[in-house]
Amino acid sequence: MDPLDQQLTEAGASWRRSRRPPPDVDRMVAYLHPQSVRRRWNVGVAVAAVSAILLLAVTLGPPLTGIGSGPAGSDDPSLVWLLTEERPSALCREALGGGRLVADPRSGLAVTDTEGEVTLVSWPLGYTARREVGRIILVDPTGRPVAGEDDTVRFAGGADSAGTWHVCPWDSVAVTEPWASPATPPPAATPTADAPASEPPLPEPPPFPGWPTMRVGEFAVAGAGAGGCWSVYYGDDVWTSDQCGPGSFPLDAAATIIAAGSDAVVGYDGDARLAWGTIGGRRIELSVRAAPISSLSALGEGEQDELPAGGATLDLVTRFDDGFVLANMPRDPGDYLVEVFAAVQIGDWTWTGTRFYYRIVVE
Amino acid sequence: MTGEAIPELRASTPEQFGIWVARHIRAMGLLAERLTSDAERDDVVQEALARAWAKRAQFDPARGTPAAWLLAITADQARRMRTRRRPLIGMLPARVRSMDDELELETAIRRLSGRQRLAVDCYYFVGLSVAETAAVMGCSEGTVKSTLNDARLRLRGLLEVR
Repeated sequence: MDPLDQQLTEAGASWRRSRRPPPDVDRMVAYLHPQSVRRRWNVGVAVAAVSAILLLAVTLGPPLTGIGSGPAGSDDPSLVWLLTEERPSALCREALGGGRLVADPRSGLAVTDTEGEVTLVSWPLGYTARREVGRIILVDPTGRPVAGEDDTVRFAGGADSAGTWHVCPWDSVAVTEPWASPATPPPAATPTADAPASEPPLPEPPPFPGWPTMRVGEFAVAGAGAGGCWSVYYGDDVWTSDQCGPGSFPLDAAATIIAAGSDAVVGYDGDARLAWGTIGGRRIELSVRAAPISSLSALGEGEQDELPAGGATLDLVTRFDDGFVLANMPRDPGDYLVEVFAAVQIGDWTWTGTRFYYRIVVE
Repeated sequence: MTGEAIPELRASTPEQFGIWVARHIRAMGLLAERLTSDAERDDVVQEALARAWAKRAQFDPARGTPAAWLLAITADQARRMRTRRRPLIGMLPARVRSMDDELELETAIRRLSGRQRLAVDCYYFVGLSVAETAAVMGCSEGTVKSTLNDARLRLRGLLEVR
């Protein structure tokens, strides 16, 4: 037998033996409805569930506002100690981070990556945590539950030299993938006589306006596609959250040749505009970045949601001007993918987190 | 009860469907974990079961075994999960370890092409036969064998370099 074949066979057998028990098929098929299938709570159901938990907590327990950052000195046994900042961190807005929220004695709530590696998190001053229905809930300074244990979240901030992540207080903590209850079926859709009146449904949003136009001088750069994970707000209400895709860069898109030292204007000509400021309770940022195509082509599936930070990626100097972004373009000759990270607004509707791509060749 | 004991899968209840898939759940879990992570395993399997349930009327035993059908769906769901997964930017450094042979082998496997890694994962780690691996990969058994051979050649080179 080929020694490598034998090594692989033994490694595989050893790996299989060390696995935890297989998934609980009975529990999983309990979610299968004879007619329809819904595995995971959608945003609306999750909001309804959190609202129900809140209502229960407000009715039966102490108010959520005014709680401390830890159980010390508090009579509320549901409070969970949470590592918080004393002041806004200087690391604010260095990068986006995130992961699945997990309980951790060093941080209260930490995040773990897909390989199970834990990163401690220092939360903004005023954030608190409490245990509800066996799950730790993260609460912002206004008393609003923003995420819970096992939710996958995203937040801005930066890591210190010890590896602890400091969450920026000016940006909200966004749930990118809600926790899917393993044992509790979603709450019944039919309201009971005691249930609070449901809110009127949100209207349908207008069609997404597509990618904005990039102009370099008199030339329009063809949009190559959109990506990233985006949410849609109607005023402050979430209409849908964290739709992701397509997850691959348009590296084969037709390129537009521009002269070295050019500047670009990115924006819409119609009703839509690139937005800036606080929208839907979220601080909206705009950025324009570029990376050589050669540095992106090796990135695999799942690694192409946005241009990776650092390395060959250029953070281009940008300026916001009444719904448009003005940005310099790369100075060095080469073949680049340009990413515009921006919110798009039409009337009361805002799309956040969208990324637009353009392919250029700098001569 | 087995898959063969349910004459009409399309008319089955969720409970009957659960019995039908129960014998394959371990392989589905192993494949899901291998292609994503331990933390995402159950999510992928649950997505795969939901999809298999929704498509159960399309299962044709003349075209393949239940195991191959379920594992192919699991592999597809794992691919979708990887596509959805957001990179953790600037926060969680990639693991670079070479503590022992097993970790070194795992690190080398991660550097294989997607198809080669899928073949290695299915055949060596999940413990599927060549025929089952072919069904999961949507190719012939001969292609699986040649892909495994290519993978071993590449692994040999990667492991020698270290």
